[in-house]
Amino acid sequence: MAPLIVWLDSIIVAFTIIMVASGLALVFGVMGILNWTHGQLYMMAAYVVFVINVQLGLNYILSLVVATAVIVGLGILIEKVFIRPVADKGFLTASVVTMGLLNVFLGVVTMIYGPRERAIPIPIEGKLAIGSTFVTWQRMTVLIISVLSLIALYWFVNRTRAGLAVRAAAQDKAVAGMYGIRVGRLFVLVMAVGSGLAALAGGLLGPVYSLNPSIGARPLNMALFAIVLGGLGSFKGAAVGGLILGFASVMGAYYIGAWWELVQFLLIMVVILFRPQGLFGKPLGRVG
Amino acid sequence: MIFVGVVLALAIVVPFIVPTPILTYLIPALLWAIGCMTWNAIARVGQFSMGQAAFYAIGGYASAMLTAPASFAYGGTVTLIFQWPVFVGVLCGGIAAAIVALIVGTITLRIGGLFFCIITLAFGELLRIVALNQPPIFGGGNGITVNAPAIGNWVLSGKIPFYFVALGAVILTAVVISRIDKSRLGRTFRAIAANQALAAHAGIQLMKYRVIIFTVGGFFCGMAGALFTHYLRVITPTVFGFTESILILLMCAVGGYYSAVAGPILGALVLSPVGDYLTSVLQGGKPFVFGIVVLLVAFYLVNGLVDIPTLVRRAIVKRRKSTVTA
Repeated sequence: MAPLIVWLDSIIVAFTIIMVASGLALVFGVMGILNWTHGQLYMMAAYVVFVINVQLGLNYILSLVVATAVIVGLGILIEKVFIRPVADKGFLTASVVTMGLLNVFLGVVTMIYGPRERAIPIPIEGKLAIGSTFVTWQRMTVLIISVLSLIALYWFVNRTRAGLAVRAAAQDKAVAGMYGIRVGRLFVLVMAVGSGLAALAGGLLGPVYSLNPSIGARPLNMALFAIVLGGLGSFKGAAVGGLILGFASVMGAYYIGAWWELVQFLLIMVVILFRPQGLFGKPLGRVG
Repeated sequence: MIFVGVVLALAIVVPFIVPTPILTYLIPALLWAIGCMTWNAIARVGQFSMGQAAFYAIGGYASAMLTAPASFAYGGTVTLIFQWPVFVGVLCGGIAAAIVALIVGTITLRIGGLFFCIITLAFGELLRIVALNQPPIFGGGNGITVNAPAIGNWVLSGKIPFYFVALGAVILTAVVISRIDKSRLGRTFRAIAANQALAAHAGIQLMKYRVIIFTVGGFFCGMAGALFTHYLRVITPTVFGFTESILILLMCAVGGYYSAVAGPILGALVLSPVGDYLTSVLQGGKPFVFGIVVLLVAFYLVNGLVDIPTLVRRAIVKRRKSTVTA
């Protein structure tokens, strides 16, 4: 039986994966486009926090809010300028465009801050005693904010009119449009929510891990795996996939070290082999 | 045909007229061109592989393990020393990559699409982890150091002989892929890409053809990766990663993925030297410039660089017409 701290760590990692993955899944579900810049949004949010909190010396919470706002703005800009013109040109063209953007962001941040590691000092001091172990309040903050934001996302998608429109557009854009939903406006909304979640995750985890221009790749990969594991375009899928991956990664690292990545890959392969649509996806037409 | 001849003649003359530093940019470009052609061939069946660089890594490691000299290999910690000739190693690298591609393809190509994309990505990451954590076999973070390729006593140590080896590999790949593209097999591939459901109803086994091209692609990538390893004289877990897989895709996009062979080669020849140069000059310059170029091509030159002659011709014709009517 793993110690309590490992269990807690699993939950924290799982929720941060879910945060990134649900934003990605939301954008994919509505727009039908895989936003490869999602990880870079995470990375840039961490850098905005670094600039405001460390270089300007302002409050951490303020920097988190500003970072989220900046990245949401950037997300909307990306949608309006780059994704909208290629939205109906197929998966490949949109992927190439967002991959181009990925490289631009990576290049800009590397040119400004260099490739070396940066650190944001832990802004929230103190530890919380749980039984015989301690958890830093920073990690608890990560957990609390991610849970709250996911509850907010769930409420938004399932309980508001805009959320209803999102679900309708995810099912069929053309029909949703005929029923008077402005799908274009919805794209902006979805992109804003998705980027906001990625930015929040980046800003929260920036102080926990160290910073370099390539930290965006890992959350993106984990989010993609979570989505594949859980099923494309379903929030339940993203959540369950994130939970599985979070526990698999931390528990796996605790018991078998770096080999857990092999286990993770085999896990995904087995799921794909027996349930090609993912655990919660809609059944696909079988091929071959 | 004339055009191909001119390009070939140029390719043969180039190493003797340009200074050697330029060859250090050209050789990697040629080796990336092979990966680009295979990526494009797979894309022409409607599947987007994010793991072509992984097959470079497999080929590289296979060849390195089979050919590494006892004195260099793993700091002497390993007992498996084959010391096969390099060109046998390169061939085995290709075969190893093809076998892995066959296995991975058989599992993941059942669904294809986005799933295939992400699984191939995961696969590349997995290889890196395995190579990093198994020092007795793969040399860990330091990788494996290998010899320069040699035929008998003749060592291919210079840039010019290696350029011709790389050129030969590119020509071989280009010939095979363009022959496939023009054959019945190629038409089947295009049918699948154009309309899966219709192709399946016409009696085409989608799965079979997808796996065929993925395996062929794997072979050539493995071969290119092995050559790359012998060019760099070392293979480490970070040489062929996720970034390189994306790079292959971007090179194809810039060159033009609507042409089977010319586009990918052109893309690799343009982007790879620029990227290598920028890396040596400015940190972060390479991804930045690549990103800008890709965006420009994606918005203003949808069919890639190979489309420029057609566009120019069309512009000239239009101008002539407008002068006639005026």
